[in-house]
Amino acid sequence: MNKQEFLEKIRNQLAGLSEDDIKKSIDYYTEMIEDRMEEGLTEEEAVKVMGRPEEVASQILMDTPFSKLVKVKVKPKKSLSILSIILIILGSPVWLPLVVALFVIILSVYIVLWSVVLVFYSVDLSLAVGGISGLLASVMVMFNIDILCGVFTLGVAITCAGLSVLLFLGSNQVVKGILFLSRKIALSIKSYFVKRRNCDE
Amino acid sequence: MDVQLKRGLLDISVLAAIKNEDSYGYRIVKDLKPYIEISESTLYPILRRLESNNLLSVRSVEHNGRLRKYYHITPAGLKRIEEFKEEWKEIVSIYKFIVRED
Repeated sequence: MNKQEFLEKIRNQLAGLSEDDIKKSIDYYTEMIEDRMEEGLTEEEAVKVMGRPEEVASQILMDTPFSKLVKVKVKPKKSLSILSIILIILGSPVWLPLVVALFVIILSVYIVLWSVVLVFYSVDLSLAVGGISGLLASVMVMFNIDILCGVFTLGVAITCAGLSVLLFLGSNQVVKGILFLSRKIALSIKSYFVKRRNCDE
Repeated sequence: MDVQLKRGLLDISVLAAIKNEDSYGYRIVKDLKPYIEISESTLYPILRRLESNNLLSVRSVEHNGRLRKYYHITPAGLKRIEEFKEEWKEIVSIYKFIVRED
């Protein structure tokens, strides 16, 4: 990939940010690539050092405050005509619930994701508690009631404890996965705003 | 290194890299490389953040027929480094508590 292609890709991914922000990013990476080339790297090599353009662009997007993205998206090109203001106000019974619904949906997705985590850990906790109390109970049963019954209880208790350890390790992986997923969702919401504006133009 | 800790250190390191004389992006990366892991794409948001917080200012200088941006530390930036030095003393005393032997 040469410099032009690299910069073009970044520009496309960032379309939606303000022209000023895009220009700053492009200028920065242009300078970085040219400085590397001045030091003896070929154009291809210098571009390669910068990383994949998709990642470079998504890093820039992630570091742009959400409020700024929305402001760019919402800022009208020309001032609104009186007619459109009236239409917006008249239309509010329609779009207001839609906006509220959108946010509620996003919120519920997060709640669902984190409930899964909660379920995993509560099952784990109950197994652990079951294991420990089973252990105590088995000792009492062994000495007070029946030795065979006590040994059986002991076996069940140890199984519970073992499962809880395994499940704990598994749950940690689940949390990692969900954190990754949340990041993806945040990014896709951002790029949704960005792409929408891109289409408007 | 812990992400949060590194993030804070990177900000100060970038300020320190331009403390004595103005510098440009690639040179900052090269100057910091022996001490702290940094790449072009991590430097960019840091520079923008420092600029918007008025800790550094930017000017374009012509170099070999193209423009290169030089970053200049502001008084607020210098003050930030001094504050960091003070904070670090606290961190050292916490560190001593953490590693104490008894």
